[in-house]
Formats: sequence, C-alpha cells, structure tokens
Amino acid sequence: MLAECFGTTADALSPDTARDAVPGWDSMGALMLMAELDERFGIELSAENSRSMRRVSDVLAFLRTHQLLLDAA
Amino acid sequence: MPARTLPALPDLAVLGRLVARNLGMTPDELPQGLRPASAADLSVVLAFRRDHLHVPMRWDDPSYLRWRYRFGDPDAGFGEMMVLWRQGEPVALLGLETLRCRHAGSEFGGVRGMDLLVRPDLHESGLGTWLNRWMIEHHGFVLAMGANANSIGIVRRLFRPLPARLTFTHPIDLRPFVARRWPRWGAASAPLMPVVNIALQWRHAMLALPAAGAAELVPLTRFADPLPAPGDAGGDRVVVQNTADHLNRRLLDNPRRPCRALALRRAGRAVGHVAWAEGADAGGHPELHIVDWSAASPQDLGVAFDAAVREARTRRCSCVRVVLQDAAEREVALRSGFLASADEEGRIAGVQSRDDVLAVRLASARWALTDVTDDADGF
Repeated sequence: MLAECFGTTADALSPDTARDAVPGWDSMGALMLMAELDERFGIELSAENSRSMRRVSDVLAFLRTHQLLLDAA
Repeated sequence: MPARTLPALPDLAVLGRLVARNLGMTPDELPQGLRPASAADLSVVLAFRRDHLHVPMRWDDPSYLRWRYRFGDPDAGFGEMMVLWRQGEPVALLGLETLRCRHAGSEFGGVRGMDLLVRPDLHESGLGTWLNRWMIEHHGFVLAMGANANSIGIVRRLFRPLPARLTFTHPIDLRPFVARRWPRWGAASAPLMPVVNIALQWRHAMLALPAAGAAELVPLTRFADPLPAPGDAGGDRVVVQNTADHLNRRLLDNPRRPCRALALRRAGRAVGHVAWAEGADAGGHPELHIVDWSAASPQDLGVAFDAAVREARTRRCSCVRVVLQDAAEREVALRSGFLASADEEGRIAGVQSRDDVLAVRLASARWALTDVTDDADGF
C-alpha cells in the first residue's frame, strides 16, 4: 500500500527508509496515503500527523496504533 | 528505468473531502472558496506572493500582475488568478492561462496552470494536488510544468508526461561559462579565453553561412494577423494558437521583460518570427534569452538562432540561452552551435484531461513549447 501511495516499489521501502529517500513521499504521496487509509480503513490521518512522519517505521507505528498492522508473535 | 504509470487518483470529491478536513473547512466550502481574483484582491495577491514565494521578486508589482491576469477585467491579462479563501484569508493562489491548441485539424481549449502558491503551513494538506485536480476537472485540458520538488512530483504522477524543456546555451564569452561549469579551472584558464572566444566566433561564422533561399530577418514593431503557421503545423505537432494581439501583449508589452521581435520573411512573405530579451546570470553578466519563435522550416529556425547569436555578440552578452522541448528544434540548435546544458533534468512538463481519449492524444503528439507558455518571466 505504501509503495502504491508513494509511486515506488515495495523493495525500495523498509522500516528504516527515511522520508527524504523516497521521492514520491511528497505532499501528493502524503495525500495518497491519507486517501488510502480513509477510503480503505476509515482511519483519519491528519496533516499534522503526516508531517511528523520521518521514516517508514513512523507510518507502520501509526498503522499499529490503529490495529491495522499486527506484530509477529 | 521502468515505465511510469499514473496511479489511480481518488475522485475530486474524495480528494476535496480530505483536503477540506485538513484545512478545517467543510467539503462544500473548499470549492466555493476558490474564486477568480477581482481588482479589489490585487493588493492581497501581491502581499501573499511577497510573503510566500521562495525567491524574492523585485519586479512583482501591480502592473505586472494586472498584465498577467484579468483581475475582473475581461479584456486584460491572459487568464484568471484564482484565490482560495478560508474565513476571509487567502490560503492559496492558482494562475490559469487560457490556451487554444490545434492538433491534426482539431482545436482544443484548455489552460496552462501556473503561479501555484500554497501557504507554507498548509504544504502537507494536499491542497496543491487538489488544485491541480480541480483544474483538470474544470477545463478541457491542462498543461503543467514542474517548478519545484512538490510540483514536479504532482506533474509526474497526476499528468501524462511530455518531453521536458531543456536549456541550450550558445557560449560567446567563455569566461563566465567556464567559471560556472568548471569553477576550479576558471582562473587558470583566463589567459586562454580571448583566443578561445575568437575561435568560437569563427566557428559560429562558419556554421551560420547563409544558404541559398534563406529567410531574411526584419525588425518587427508589432505583430499583425494572420500569423504564419509553423511549417510542421499540419503534422502530429500540437500548435498553440496565438494571435497577433496575444504576442504583442505577451512579448512586446511585457513589463517584466519586454522582447525584441524580428519577422522571418521570404520573397516578401512572413514565414515566422523570433523574439528575445536580455537578462543577466547570477554574476551579472548579460545574456540573451530566446523567448519565442515560429518558423516555416528547420533552416528558417537556424537563421533565427544565428541572428540571436549575432545580436548577443553585438550586445556583449556572454551567451544565448533557449529552452527547447522538441527533438527537431534541439537538432537545429546543436547545428547552430548551441550546447545542451549538462546535468539538467529540464522543466518537467505534462498534459492531462478528464477526457482520457483527449489526454492520450495530446500526450502522444509532438510539442514544441516556447517561453510564451511558461511563467518564468524572470531569469
């Protein structure tokens, strides 16, 4: 889902990947992520929360908070 | 590099709902807040640009903005300056320049989106994307060019790609050119430069030898209709339909950079034109910029480029610059002694329409845009 939002491939993203290293994680990429979360899961990602995300791991943490992502046992 | 595909966008209403939420507006308030600027809004627009443009523009004044946009006067400007208002405060600007294009016998109306400016604290709100999406929904087609990282990202993913516009430079005085491109060699090579400059002049003289039947150039005080069509207008090229009035206002009456224009004539008949303006590089060295052109043939375009180089030499300019999109026009520039700028991605361009058939048609055609359809009036 993140790769689709940011216009890249899944291989290019890992939890440690910094936002600056993903060209598609710009204002449009952030909006695509908001739209995806809203449309698919009914989760609201605010602009402020989006701005604070600096790495892919921040997005994953947000997904965990909303129980969209479960840690492996 | 893998082929880029356009991601499926949420529709305008979905996008509007998200962006409105980010802005603290209702979904209805967002489109209702976007209105053409009136004369009374001029000072607000000017202040917004002064406060939020990354690059300060000393020439951005009421006369320039009134020249560029209508501000309530249907006979003025080239399009509307749209202002997005939230609770009485402007939060974004979007310039729309009306375009008419002809392709393979059909004419299409659209806009060129330009001067898009969002208040910095709203950059993550998706407003820039929504404004682009709004343009696509409300106009026949939209032509867009990326000016910064965000707008380049939007053009790349929301628009169908067109060839980028690349800068070509004809050096005349190599000193500032070498200093810019190879800073470490600038001082060391200084004694050689006069010799190299003479060699360049000789090279240009050889490249620009007039061919039999070549067009002649005549100074032009005003353009007059009918304007001659480019020689390849009937082919697969998209031709922006300009009128003499448009070119007079856009090129000759431009308060920011008035151009000098010359008509290309053959056997007493107009076959094209070229217009240029003088500017300066970051070091203050004068440069000549070719702003607009139209030619019946590649040979005629070569004549126009050569004339610009001669003019630049007379004015003691360090170089001539031209921004080219079309491969055939780039070939002409290379034959005239221009060099493609190194390490430059160019001005990323794209076209889009809510009519997918039209979008594909326009994106598949040849484009040869000049600076007339660009908002970079400064240097």
